[in-house]
Amino acid sequence: MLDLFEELVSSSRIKFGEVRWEETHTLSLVIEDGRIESVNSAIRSGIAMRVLKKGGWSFASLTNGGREQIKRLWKNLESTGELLPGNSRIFSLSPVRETKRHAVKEDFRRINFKEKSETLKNLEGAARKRKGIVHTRLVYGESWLKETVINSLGFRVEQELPRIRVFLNVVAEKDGLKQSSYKSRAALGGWEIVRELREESFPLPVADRAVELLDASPPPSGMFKVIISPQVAGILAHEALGHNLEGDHIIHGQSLLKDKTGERIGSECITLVDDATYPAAYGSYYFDSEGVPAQKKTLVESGKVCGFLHSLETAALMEAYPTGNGRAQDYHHLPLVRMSNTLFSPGECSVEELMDMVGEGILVEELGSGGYVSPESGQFMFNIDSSWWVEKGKKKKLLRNVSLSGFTLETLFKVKACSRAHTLSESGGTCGKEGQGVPVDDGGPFMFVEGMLVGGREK
Amino acid sequence: MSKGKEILQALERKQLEQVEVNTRRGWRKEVDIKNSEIHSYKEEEFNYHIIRAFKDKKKGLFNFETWRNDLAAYIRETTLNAEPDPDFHSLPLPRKISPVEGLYSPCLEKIKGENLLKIARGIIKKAKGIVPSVVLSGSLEASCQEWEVVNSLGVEVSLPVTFLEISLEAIIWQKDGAGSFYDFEKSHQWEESFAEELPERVVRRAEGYLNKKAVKTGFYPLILSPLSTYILLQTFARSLNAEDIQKKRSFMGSKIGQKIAQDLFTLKDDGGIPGGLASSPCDGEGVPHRKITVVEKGILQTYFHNSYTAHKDGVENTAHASTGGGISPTNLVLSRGKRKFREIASDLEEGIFADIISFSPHPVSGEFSVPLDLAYKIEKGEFAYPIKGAMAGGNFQEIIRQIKEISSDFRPFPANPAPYILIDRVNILGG
Repeated sequence: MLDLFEELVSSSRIKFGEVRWEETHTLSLVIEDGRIESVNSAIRSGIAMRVLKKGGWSFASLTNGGREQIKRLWKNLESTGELLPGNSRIFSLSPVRETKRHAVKEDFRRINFKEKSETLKNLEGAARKRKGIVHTRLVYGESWLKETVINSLGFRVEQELPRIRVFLNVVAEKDGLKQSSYKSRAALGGWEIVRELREESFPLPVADRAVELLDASPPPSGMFKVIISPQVAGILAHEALGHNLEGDHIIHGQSLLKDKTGERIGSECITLVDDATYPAAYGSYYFDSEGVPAQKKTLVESGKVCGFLHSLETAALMEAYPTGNGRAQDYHHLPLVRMSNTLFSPGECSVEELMDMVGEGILVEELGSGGYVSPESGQFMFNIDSSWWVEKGKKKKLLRNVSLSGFTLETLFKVKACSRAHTLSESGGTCGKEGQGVPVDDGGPFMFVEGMLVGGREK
Repeated sequence: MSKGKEILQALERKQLEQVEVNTRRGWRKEVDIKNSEIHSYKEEEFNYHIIRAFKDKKKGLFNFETWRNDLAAYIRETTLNAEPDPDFHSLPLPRKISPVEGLYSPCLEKIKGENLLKIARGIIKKAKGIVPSVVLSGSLEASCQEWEVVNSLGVEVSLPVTFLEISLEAIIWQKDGAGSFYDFEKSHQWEESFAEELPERVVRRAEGYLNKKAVKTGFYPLILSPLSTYILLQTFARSLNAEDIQKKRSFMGSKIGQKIAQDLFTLKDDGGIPGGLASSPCDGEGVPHRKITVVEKGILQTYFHNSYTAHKDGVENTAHASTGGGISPTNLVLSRGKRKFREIASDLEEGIFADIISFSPHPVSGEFSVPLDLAYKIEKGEFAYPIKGAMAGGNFQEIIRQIKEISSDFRPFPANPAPYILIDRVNILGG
C-alpha cells in the first residue's frame, strides 16, 4: 500500500499532500481493592490523508479501504481543495526517509497476562497495608503505536513507540472525612518500567500521604509567598506558558504572547524548553505526525521569548523553522501544534535557600485533579492535594485541598529563584487541545514565587 | 445480517456465556474556523465496535475499528484472563422499546461539504460584521451514524442518529488585554437559527468582557447563567453515578431520602424526550429509557444505575448505562420558579453573575475552587462591570443546598431547558 501512498502524494494537481498510516494496540487493566475490575483492549488501524491545494486544508480519514476506495477519496480531497481558498502554506523541508523503533528491554506484548496482573496487584495491594486506607485503584495502560508518514516533500518516515503508564489512586477515611492522593509513572519503553517500581517509592508514599492529609489543616486564603515543587512547576510550564508558545495560537490570535517575540515576559530565572528527545519520556517521539524529526527547543531564555513551537504550516506562516511539534491524536485528526516534554530550567539555589527566602508562606507539593487556564487572559488555576505551611523557613503544618491561581505573566515576573534540583515529573499525561489528546510530560525545579493567590476555606 | 449480529455470532461460537456488541458506524463532516477564516474541511468515516464479553463471571471490554474474525479468539483468551466478579449477574433481557422521535434528520444526512462551507463563511461574515477585528475560531460539524446494540440474550436495537453542532469562540483584543467568550449549539435537526444567533452572541459577549475590574473578597449571592446551570446539573448528575457511590468515590454517598436542597429544587431525568440531546429509546445496554425523578422537593430519590449497579444494590435499573458498561445521565429537567432572571437580579444590592462557571468539585470531598473568568459584578440590581482574576470556593453540596431561587425563563437546550439559578452565598476570592 505504501507505493500507492507515494503515488497519490506526488500528484501535480496539489501544492502539498500527505498520507499517514497508523496501527495501535492498547491494553488497560483496572485493579480496585485487590480485584481486577476490568480488562480493556483495543486494536485500531487507519489512514489519514490531507491535501493543500488553494490555501485551505482538505482532510479525510478511513478505517477500512482497498486501493480503489483510497484513490477515490484522494480524488475527492483534491476537488474539495478547490473550494478552500486560504492562507495556509507548508515549509519546504528537506526530505527525511528513516525508520526508528524504540528499543525496549522487555516487550510488554510478550509478558503473559498472569505475570502482568500479579505484579500490578502487588503494587496496588501494598497501598492497602496502611491503616486508614479505604479504597485503592490502579490503572495500567500500555500502547504500541506503529506510524508511517509519506508526503509530497519526499518524506517517508516510520516509527514504533511503546508507552506505559501506571496510575495509582488511594482514598483514606477517618471520622467521615475522606482524602485522596495519587501517583503515576509513565514513560516510553517496555515492561521494565513496571518491573522497576518499588513498594517503598510508589504505592506506600501515596498511601502515607492520603492518611496524613486526614489530619492536615485547610489552607488559608489570600496572597502568599509560595515555593512550587517540580511537579507544579511542570504544570505551570505546560498549561500556563507552553500553550501560549504554540505557533498556531500565535497566528490565530489566541495567545497572550502573540506580540511578544524577543520581549521580556518573566524574571531572569525563567528559561523554558520543550524537548521531544528527552530520553524515554512519555511525551517523547522520533518524528512528529508530519514526519519532522523530534527536537529540543528553547522557547524562553532568561525571561525573554526566543522561539515558538511549530508545525510545517506555522513555520511557513511565521517564517521560522519547523520544530517537529505537529502532532495528531490519531488518524482521525489533522496535526496541530503540540508540546512534548516541557520543562523550566534549573537555577542556582538549594531548596533550603529557597525555604529561607520564603520565610512565611506555602510550599506547594502534590498536584490534585482539575485545573483551568485561559490562554488569552493568562488566568490559571490549579488544584493542589498537599502543601506545607512554612514558618521561619521550615515546614510547619500540612495543608490539604489548596488552589493556586494567578495570571501567567504577573506570576512569571514574581519568580525570584529556582533550585538546582530539577526533574521531569515522569507522571505523564494526556494534553487536550481542540478535541485531540496526545501524550506529554513536564517538569522543572523548585521555584520561589513572591506572591500567588491561594484559595482555601479557612478565613 | 447486521454487523453487530455478525460479531455476536462469531463470539458465541467461542463459547463465551454472554456477549454485548455496540456498534457506531457513520461519518462526520467538519469545517474548522481559525483566526476568522476557514482553515480546513474534514470528512471522517468511523466504525467503532465496543464489545463486552463474559465467561464464568469474568468480564472483558474491547474496542475495535476494524473487525476481523480472528479477533474472536483474542477476545475469549483476554476475557478468561480477568477475575470473576461475584456481583455480576447478567446482561439485560430484551424489553419492548418505543421509538423516540426527532433524533434523525434526512436533511442532515444528505448535507454536503459545500453547504457546510457556505454556512461557515456566513458565520464568519456575521461575526466580522459586528466587530471587524474579532478573532473567531471554532467548528461546524454534521454527523450521521447508525447505532446498534445487540446481546446474546436477545437484545436487538438499532437506530439512525444525526447531529449538528456549532461551537465558537470570539476574542477581541485591546491594548491592555482581551475579551473573550465561548458558546455552542447542538441539535439532532438542521437548525437555521444557529448560524445566525450564535456568532452574534459570542461576539457581543466577548465585547462585554473587555475592561475587567477586580472585585473585593467576600461572600456574595451568585447567579448562574443558563449555560452555567446546564454545566452545574451535569456535574451534579455525575456525582450520583451509582458505580462511584458503591466504590465510595463520590461525596454524594448515603444520601438517598435525605434533604440535599431546598423545596424548590426538583430534578427529573428523561431519556425519552423527542429530539433531546441525550435522548434515545434505550440506554447503552438496550434497556428502555423512562422518566425518573432524581430529586423531589430537595430530597434525593435515586442514584443513576446500569444493570450491574442496580443488581448489586438490589434496586430497579434506572437505564443509565452508557456504551461499554459505564453510567451517564440523559436529559436533565430542573423545576422552574415564578420570576424572570431580571426580576431576581434586580433584588440584589450586590452580587455576581457567572456567565460560565464549571465547579469541578473534588470527586471524594466535594470541595472546589474555580476561577471566575467570565463573570459580572452586579450592583443595585444592574450589571456593573466584568470581573477579573477572581475565584469561587466552597463545597459543591453547599452550592446545591444554597440554591435559593430558580428563574421562570430558560435557555432551550434541546430537552435540557436551563434556567438561571440564584445561589444564596458563595465565597469569592478577589483578584
